[in-house]
Amino acid sequence: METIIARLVEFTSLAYCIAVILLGMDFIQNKPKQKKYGLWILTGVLVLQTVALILQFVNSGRVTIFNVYEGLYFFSWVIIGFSIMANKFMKIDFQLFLTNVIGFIMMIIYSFSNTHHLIGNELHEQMISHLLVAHVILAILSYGAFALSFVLSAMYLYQYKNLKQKKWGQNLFRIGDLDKLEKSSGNLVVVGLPFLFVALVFGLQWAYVKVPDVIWYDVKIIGSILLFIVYGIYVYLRNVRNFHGKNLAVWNVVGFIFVLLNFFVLNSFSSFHIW
Amino acid sequence: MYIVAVGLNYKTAPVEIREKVSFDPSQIPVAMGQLREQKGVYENILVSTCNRTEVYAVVDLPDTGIYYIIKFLAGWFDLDIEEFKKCLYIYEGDEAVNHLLNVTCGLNSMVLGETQILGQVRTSFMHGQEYRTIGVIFNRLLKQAITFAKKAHTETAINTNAVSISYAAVELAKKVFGALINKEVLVFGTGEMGQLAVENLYGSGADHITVINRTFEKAKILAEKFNGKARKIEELSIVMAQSDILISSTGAKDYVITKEIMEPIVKKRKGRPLFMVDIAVPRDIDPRVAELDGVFLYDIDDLQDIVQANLTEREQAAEQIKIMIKDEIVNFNQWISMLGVVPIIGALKEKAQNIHDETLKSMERKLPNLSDREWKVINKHMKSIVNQMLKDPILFAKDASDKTSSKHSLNAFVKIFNIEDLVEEQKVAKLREEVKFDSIEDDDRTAVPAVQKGVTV
Repeated sequence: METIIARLVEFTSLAYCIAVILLGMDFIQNKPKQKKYGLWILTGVLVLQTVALILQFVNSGRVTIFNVYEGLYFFSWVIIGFSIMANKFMKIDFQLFLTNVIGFIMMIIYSFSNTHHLIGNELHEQMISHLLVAHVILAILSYGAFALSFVLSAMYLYQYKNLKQKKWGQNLFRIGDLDKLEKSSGNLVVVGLPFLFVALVFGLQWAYVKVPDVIWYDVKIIGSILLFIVYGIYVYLRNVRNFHGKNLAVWNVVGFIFVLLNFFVLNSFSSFHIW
Repeated sequence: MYIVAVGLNYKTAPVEIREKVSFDPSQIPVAMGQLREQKGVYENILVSTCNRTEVYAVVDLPDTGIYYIIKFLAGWFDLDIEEFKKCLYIYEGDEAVNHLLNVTCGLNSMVLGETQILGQVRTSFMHGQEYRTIGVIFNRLLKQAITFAKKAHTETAINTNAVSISYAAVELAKKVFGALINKEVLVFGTGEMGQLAVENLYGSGADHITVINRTFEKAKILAEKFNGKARKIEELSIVMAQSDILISSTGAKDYVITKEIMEPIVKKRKGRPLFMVDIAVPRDIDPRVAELDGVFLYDIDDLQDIVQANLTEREQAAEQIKIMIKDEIVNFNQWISMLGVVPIIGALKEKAQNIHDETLKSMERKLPNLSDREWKVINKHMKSIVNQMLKDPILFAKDASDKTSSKHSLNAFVKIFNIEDLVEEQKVAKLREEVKFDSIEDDDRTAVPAVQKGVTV
């Protein structure tokens, strides 16, 4: 079974690579047909990833999201799903390609980590509980929303620069308008923030119950709370103080850099957080 | 028969001639009907706009047909024929089809890629069907041209993005705000260009318009035009803080809106974008205002640059379409070739079927005692012999129709099999069938096309 899963993951990575290349061709050369094919392949990748996740679940008898690499796989699954939905409902050119560049990087790190067949070794079976599953899933869903929001904010900044510096051309006209980019990215943060909050509550509750001698000033706990504060300030400025524009987009970009730091770097310094 | 195009446009005739040689839309069907009566003209349509008047026709002989078309036009507009000829362009065969496809796609228009001409060609096509001035060939060619033009507009960037200054301002505003509905527009000054830009914004959904002018009465008149409000010049800063779009076109000699004035206003806006268009010359807005966050300031030269960039894009798309047109001409020529060869193949099959039927009857007389099963077997085998015998000649005829020497080859083919009469019958039957399909009753003027290479039909 493990070999089948490993081959499936490799094949999915290859298909994902082709999809990103096709979307990239549309991004660079304005080729709608390539985008259409890319989207079809991407949908296929989502299906294959779902199958792989189910097989991993059947094989190991538990949800496979309990180390950084498994988390990455789940993260890329969330990103593909969100980007396809956003493509359907937001209809913003380039979003699909740019979001999936992030998703593909996640997938590649996972594929080269060679740890997907060693799942479960890091975390003692007794430590796993429903609280932990809910914590990880909700946190990654919030990260998915933040990733998409980051892409839209980056596009906002690029379009802002085009309009400010009077760079007329295909890109100016293909990228959506500032208003739509700003609203969509803001809405995604508003959706992602409650997920992050509930994930933090579940995570803390789990640590309290399952981790003896938990250090409450652990870098991961502090980092996650700071992350919540960063996005909390964004929502406060946007929805309460009615701020708009470039500075808000920059804040959102910084927020996502914080997500990446929290996901990749802070785990290494944590005494208990290994996923 | 041949396809020809005769006409004049903004490139070949000055406006004084164009305004004379222009058909009122109601006259077009009448003129097409009269053109049909001209010697040697079998099918025709007429396209007439402010920038062009053109006749496309299927004629018996090019020189005669063209002569009578020119004579008809000169007579209609009461012009000296020799003087009139100087303004005309004349295309024959593939060139005429190429010209029609270029025109229908808007590649021959003053505003490259515009779509109005497609509607006008379509209207002429409908008139042609209604008043029976077109037959099999134009029915096919015009349908192909209209379908192709639609495809070209969808698949290329020929018709995307603005190519006029006032519309470029609207397009830019849309890049900032998306929809312009409910956006607050401030019109500062009552200059002509500014009014034009506001008209375009208003037409695009921006319906909250405020006008400020040094002379309040003028502001009131302009505001009324757009169901807007007029405010006094002293309120400029207050209104600017609330506005999304500012169009400035005063007659001031120096900057009226400076960075120092704008700084506190921008601060109050908390990053909300302000789209400013300075159409005045000399400019009203200090260019340093563009340095402020959230302010998008454009002057007349910027808008002109956008128009130029968009035009360049349209030119690139036009090159793409020109390549696509070549394929369309090849397709049309193939259809024309097949139009000639189909009756020949039909006639050959009919002759073979007749021989087959007569032979069977003769056998029936001579062998009356055969059982039903034996007849079935004989019938089947005879059909098989006929089909196998015809297979290669039919392939030859199809191949020959694609070649330059098709006319001679097919004539020889018809003579070898002695099917001249049957071919004529097939042509008439096919013609009736096609015309019936397109709901046009044809008359005896729509002759059967001969088989020749190119668009010579």
